[in-house]
Amino acid sequence: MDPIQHYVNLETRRKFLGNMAMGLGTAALSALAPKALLGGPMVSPGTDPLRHGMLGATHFAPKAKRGIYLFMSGAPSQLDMFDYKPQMKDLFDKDLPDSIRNGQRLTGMTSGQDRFPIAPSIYDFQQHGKSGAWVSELLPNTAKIVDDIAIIKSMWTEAINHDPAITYIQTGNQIPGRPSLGSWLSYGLGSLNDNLPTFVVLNSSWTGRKEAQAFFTRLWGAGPLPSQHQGVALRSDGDPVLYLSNPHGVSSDIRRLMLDGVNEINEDIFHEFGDPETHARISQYEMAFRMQSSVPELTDLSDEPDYIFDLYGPDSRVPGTFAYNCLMSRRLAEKGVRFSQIFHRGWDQHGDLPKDLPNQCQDVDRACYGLITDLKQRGMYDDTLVVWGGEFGRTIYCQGELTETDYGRDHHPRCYTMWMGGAGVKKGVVYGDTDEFSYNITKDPVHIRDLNATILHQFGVDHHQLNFKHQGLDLKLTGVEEAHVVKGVLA
Amino acid sequence: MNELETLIGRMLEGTLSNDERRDLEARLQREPAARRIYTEQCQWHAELALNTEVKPLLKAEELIAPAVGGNTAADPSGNAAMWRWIGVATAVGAVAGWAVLRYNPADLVAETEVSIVSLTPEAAYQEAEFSEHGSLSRPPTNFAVVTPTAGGYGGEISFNRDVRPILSENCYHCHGPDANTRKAELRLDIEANAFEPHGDYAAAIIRGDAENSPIFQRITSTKKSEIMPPADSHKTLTAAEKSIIHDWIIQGAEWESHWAFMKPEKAAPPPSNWGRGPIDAFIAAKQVALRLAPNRPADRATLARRLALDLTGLPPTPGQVADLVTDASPDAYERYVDALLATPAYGEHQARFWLDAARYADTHGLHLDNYREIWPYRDWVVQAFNRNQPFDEFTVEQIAGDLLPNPTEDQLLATGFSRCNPTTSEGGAIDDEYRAIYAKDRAETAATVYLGLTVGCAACHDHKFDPISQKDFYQFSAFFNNIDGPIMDTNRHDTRPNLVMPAAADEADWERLQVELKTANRELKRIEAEREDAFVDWLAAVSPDVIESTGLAGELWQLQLTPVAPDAAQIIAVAAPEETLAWTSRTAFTINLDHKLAQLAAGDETLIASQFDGDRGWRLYALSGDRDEPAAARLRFELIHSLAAGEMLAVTSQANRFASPPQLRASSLVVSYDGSGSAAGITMGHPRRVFIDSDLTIDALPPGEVGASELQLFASVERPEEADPSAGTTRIALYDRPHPLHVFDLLWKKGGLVKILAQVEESGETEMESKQLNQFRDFYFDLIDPTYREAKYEQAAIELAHNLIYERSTVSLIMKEREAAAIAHILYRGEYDQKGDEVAANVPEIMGGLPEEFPANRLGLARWLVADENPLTARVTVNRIWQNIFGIGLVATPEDFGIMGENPSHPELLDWLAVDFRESGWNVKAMIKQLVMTDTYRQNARIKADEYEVDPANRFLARGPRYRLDGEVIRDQALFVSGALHDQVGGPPVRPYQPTGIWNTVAYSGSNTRFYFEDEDDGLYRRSLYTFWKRTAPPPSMTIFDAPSRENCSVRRDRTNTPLQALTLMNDPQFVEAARRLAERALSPGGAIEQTPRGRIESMYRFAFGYEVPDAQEEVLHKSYLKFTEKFGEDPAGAVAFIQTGASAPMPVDDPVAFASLTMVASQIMNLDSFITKY
Repeated sequence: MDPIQHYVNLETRRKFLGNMAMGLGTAALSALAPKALLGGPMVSPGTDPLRHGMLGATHFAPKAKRGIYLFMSGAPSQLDMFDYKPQMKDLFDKDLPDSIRNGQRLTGMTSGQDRFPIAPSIYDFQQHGKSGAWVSELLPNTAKIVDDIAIIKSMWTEAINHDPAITYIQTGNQIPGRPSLGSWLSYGLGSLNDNLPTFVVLNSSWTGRKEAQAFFTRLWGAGPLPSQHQGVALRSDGDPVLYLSNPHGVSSDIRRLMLDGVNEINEDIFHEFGDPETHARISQYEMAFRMQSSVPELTDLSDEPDYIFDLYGPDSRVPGTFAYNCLMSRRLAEKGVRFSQIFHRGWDQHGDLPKDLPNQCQDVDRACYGLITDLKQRGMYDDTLVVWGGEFGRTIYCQGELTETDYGRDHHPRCYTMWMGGAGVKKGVVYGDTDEFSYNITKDPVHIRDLNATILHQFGVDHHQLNFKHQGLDLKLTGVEEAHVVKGVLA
Repeated sequence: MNELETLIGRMLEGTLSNDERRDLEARLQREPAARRIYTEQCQWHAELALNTEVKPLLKAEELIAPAVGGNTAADPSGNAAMWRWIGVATAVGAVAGWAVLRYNPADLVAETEVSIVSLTPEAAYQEAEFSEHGSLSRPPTNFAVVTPTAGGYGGEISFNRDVRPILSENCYHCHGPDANTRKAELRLDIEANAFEPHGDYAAAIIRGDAENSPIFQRITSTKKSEIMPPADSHKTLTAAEKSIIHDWIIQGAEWESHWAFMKPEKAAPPPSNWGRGPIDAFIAAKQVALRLAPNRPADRATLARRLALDLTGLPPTPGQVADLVTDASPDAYERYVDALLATPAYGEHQARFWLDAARYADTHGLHLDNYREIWPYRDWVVQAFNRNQPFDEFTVEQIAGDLLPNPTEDQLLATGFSRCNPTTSEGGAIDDEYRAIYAKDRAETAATVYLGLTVGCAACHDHKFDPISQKDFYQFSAFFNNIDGPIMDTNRHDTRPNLVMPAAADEADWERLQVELKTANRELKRIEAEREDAFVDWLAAVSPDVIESTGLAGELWQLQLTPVAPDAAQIIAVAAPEETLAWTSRTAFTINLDHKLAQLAAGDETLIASQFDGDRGWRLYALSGDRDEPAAARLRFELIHSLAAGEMLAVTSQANRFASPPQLRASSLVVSYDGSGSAAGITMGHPRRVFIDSDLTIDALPPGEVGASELQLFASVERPEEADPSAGTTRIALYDRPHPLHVFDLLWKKGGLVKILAQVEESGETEMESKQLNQFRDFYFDLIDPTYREAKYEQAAIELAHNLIYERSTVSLIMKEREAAAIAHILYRGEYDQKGDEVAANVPEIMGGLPEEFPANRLGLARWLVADENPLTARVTVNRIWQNIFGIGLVATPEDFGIMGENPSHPELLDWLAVDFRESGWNVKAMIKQLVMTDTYRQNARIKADEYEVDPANRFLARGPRYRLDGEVIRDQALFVSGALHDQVGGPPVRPYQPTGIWNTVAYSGSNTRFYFEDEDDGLYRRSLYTFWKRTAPPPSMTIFDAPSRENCSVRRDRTNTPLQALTLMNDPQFVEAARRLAERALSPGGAIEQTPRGRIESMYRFAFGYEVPDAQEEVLHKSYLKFTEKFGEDPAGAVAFIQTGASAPMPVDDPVAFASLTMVASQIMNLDSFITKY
């Protein structure tokens, strides 16, 4: 907001409080402070950056009020889940034709292989729903929601290794340091609530291969944006939000008393220096205090009925699982958290895919179904955007030894599958297509930049116009290269 | 100015006469226009809105409406500007104007409530007008800048100040330096092109004639096909911007070069009757121009704290404050400043800013994000500031210390600056790609830190705004593209090139061994050449039998072991060797065995083999990995003379710096002992990886040779339950002398050689592949050839001793240049695999290129950076120093002095400081001292309402600096005032309190920085500068306070104000414990003047701020204390629990309730806005 305007508001308040201080206790002050400071009199709508974001208002009518991003870190195999390639059965252990590979660069993991034998998926695929989308047997529950989502089979990226690729899809650049998608949304659109962070991140346990790729706090970092826009990790271990709990032995009553004293003195300090930051500080302490009760309420699932847990599957009762986090995300969405992102690791199946992939799928399949169904039954699916997917795909050719029952797949950035749903996304479509090897895109390519542009678009934001000046650049989530909203998946 | 405006102005001044007041009221009653103007002013001057005599005359909706509706913009008469002037003119007296005497707060509250209801974010969100682009305000920059401009019609326009920002923001993308995106061959960034004929036009700009200048025609056009900037650029010019272009053209369109590329000149300071020197004079002149008036000086106690925090990052002690306050001598202030500048804490504080810029961290940053050892560079920076190394030297050593003649250890360490960039060793990563990424990062960092230029933009294309071509960028990156070392960091802590710094005791040996090793290696090469013919002969005659029968000298016995009971939990394969060793404490030996490790759970250990009679003998164990790498395995070897007497040698390998022996695969393990009677004589490990760094060494054999008796020994193999049944030892051999480990690798590979021989025979080929040939070559030379074998044994001993010292030495990453000249390729669109022309290292053309007498390498670059002719380095540096003292730079974009950066608020002052800095011999302490000696710095920080309007960010310094402290300073301050700070300077990184799971949640499972273990002692209480910085999961208590992730160069921090900060300060055990220790200080004998609650509270406050608690605050704190005692009194167990927070034991007290209550008051003090703010 205009800092001058902000100051004038405070100045008004200062006079007011100056005259009232003797008559008005601190309880009244603390009751007044947050509202008056965060959206008080004489503040135009859409000008307070904390509440409304830098954009003030969206560029066009938003479809999504909030979003839930289910991120599969490590790159799920599109070939064994969504991208059905029945012709491959006949090509078992045949070499991938050079014309298909077409000189594409390989990772260091398979660039030394003598040959690239085709590893057909060993899983059965069937068509589901009215849309007739193909889904493998590994995802029996996701198969039930194909008519609610848009499956994009033609995602692609340039990055071939995890660290740069995941940084790329999350921040728009392969080199660390740029703001993440959630930070951009927080920065641009601001908060929907008074008691909780705007952008929340949940990390999940996984049951596939234990050696999982690292990820990085940069994936929900704010880069050069002010740090209040960085994602707040909601943890299943220790305090759900860092430093949320009072020290042992300190009750909420004592905390309240402590804050009353601090606020009273801070008010004095404000009188002495007239610095608006001091008032902002009072309101931030008040929000911290509210979070101390609102976050535990949020993370206490005891008020959820059994049928809800049943919907998400039995894992949803186990803190830290993907299913638990899905349920938590729904609660976050209900309470006005703008954007939550669940990270699920362990999808990097270079070898032993048949051993690990089913476990990974089992972690997420029921929960995805539960989340969509739950959002639908609460009438929230219309304005909640749900996105599912990883940083790239996997190769049709085998990495390591190929047998009838065992294979591994290397990184494959040239095509892979993601899905999205809710908030103005077309229901029951399969968008884009790949060649018979799921190696190259044959129809409607969607770059990860396009996906990000589309996500912003659903939030009412023109990706060209959400930017931040930094080191001489207008930083944008979609970077400097072209990005297009994928109209084909929008209703 | 019309009469109404005059009246309001006087009213704000408080000089309105009664007649005038009646006049004003009448006008407001009568004239809607007057009311509208008045209500507009209410937005600027709150007291107007609250004026109870006028207020009834205004309709409530009028009072509120302008702000809510935002309809003040359309004031065609330009009134706003004049009203602003009134506000400025009345700056001093305005607040004291009409006091608010009789207004009814209830009214305001009611209105407030109404407006809140109508402004809920949800509602605003719903009601927002959704046009295609219309409702969007241009995103602001992330700092508030009030740069005075002549603005509008009539004022004198400056090209650099007024016009270029408009052109660069809106036009340079297509009409700027980048040839690839340039349209119509028109450039508006260079003078010649803008004024020369273009197609049908005489020129884009016709001096003196705006209406006929195509540029003005296009920006004012209403035709969609003509308007500039075009619609698809998503940019539009405001009316004010158009008018600036117009005025500039009619004033003659005078062109100026970009200020930052012009050499700074030291202008004479303007005359001033305020302040005490040139800096104050420059500041005062600008204030006069803006009609601002400086504040009075702050009191000495406040200054004592401000100075201590600014100069050392720590607060003053009460004693320091008292000394300054009571010192009546005229140079008291200066002596206080000098004393602070002389403390070691000064260097630590300055280093912290520098380390943000250098992107220093203790891990590699990408993928595994393993530990990287480069903290000696951090310590070098601290020391460089403390010995006040001239900034030019400081620069040359960091950029090119390795290229100086006979560089010292310090000069080599300094080059760590360019080794702080994030690196990777991810499985599939490609060298060429990362070579390009690293060179870019290093070039960008150097350019940001020294030149304030965003050269990285030119990696993919010519810079869009600054005159930096893509060629310029690659020439610049070439300086950093010539490192003699691997691209992949190999996930090791010591990625080459590095500097090894042995402990003092090792230094002489290290020097000697390096020479000896070189000599020995040369000797081996010589012998190998000499004996080549013998090898050829041997190979021609070699048979499988020869291979199989090759062994080592001194073999006493060799046993094949078969587990007696494959399913048993413990298998004892007893075997009585035929020959036993007459073993004494000085008997040298080597044990070699084939073993397959079982997967061990954390804390497990298993016996691999032993010859042990219950009191004497040896034992070899496999242990689970240490805390950092539980999945890796360690070995422990014990050589026991008498277990009962504790007379033994034992060595345990450390997992976190070594990969475990290949697990779940049988391998050869070796232990050798040289008979020296010392644990250092034990070598053990996998033949290809010597485990020599031990985390547990027992060295307790009695001196001299003892125990010369023969023992009947036996070997045993044990394995834990549920382990892999194939795990265990299958062969064991004993030798009567130490053998180097490498020979066992060759023995282990015998089978492979036999296989090759069979293959060769079968295929009938006469030649082996070179890979196979080399295996035979190694076998022959290391095991067969008598001359070479002997020399190799000697070399191996030297190498082992050498490596032992290496592994226990401190290492730091440094730069080392390759022999070849520094070159780079222009990369098309920045893609590493799209190489274009080769270019030699050079500096940007706009800055004249590298002078001929400078070498075209980093040393030339370094010299050029600090050359007198360089217009940027000094400016950029003094600007950062200014920023560190005043909170915001004279150029608010310290990272960008280019065309898109901000113009300086005080250009002449910036230049004056830059020249002065250089003339002083780049004296950093002198520059900092000069700044804090000014009257500008000494002002109190109180904000005057009217001046806030003119200068909310305090760019013009009509008040002292006041802003939130950085996270490190807040934490250090808490430790300091509580007496907990451990002030050791330098050393390896430490691990203070951190919530569980911060690392583990994100870390790669094989990373050696996966698990965070808090230190137990001093490490918890060191300055934050020394906290271990894991780049992919930096310490949350720092990043919550806006510390950068250190993944790239950062020269400016935000100062946000968030609830997470409040939670940290209230609940982080570090702060809770500090509060308790502050309470303990007050409770200690002599800790308070009076041992009463009030006395203790006063004492704690004095420790926290250095001066006395103001009465009003003391009242509140004491009142809080009483309430806390009441509450804790209801729950004494809670009080006890509370004071147990933290690793240190609480002081024993009789009354835990009082202790806890006092602790809570201490926590209140540490949560005060003033405590975490510099003012």
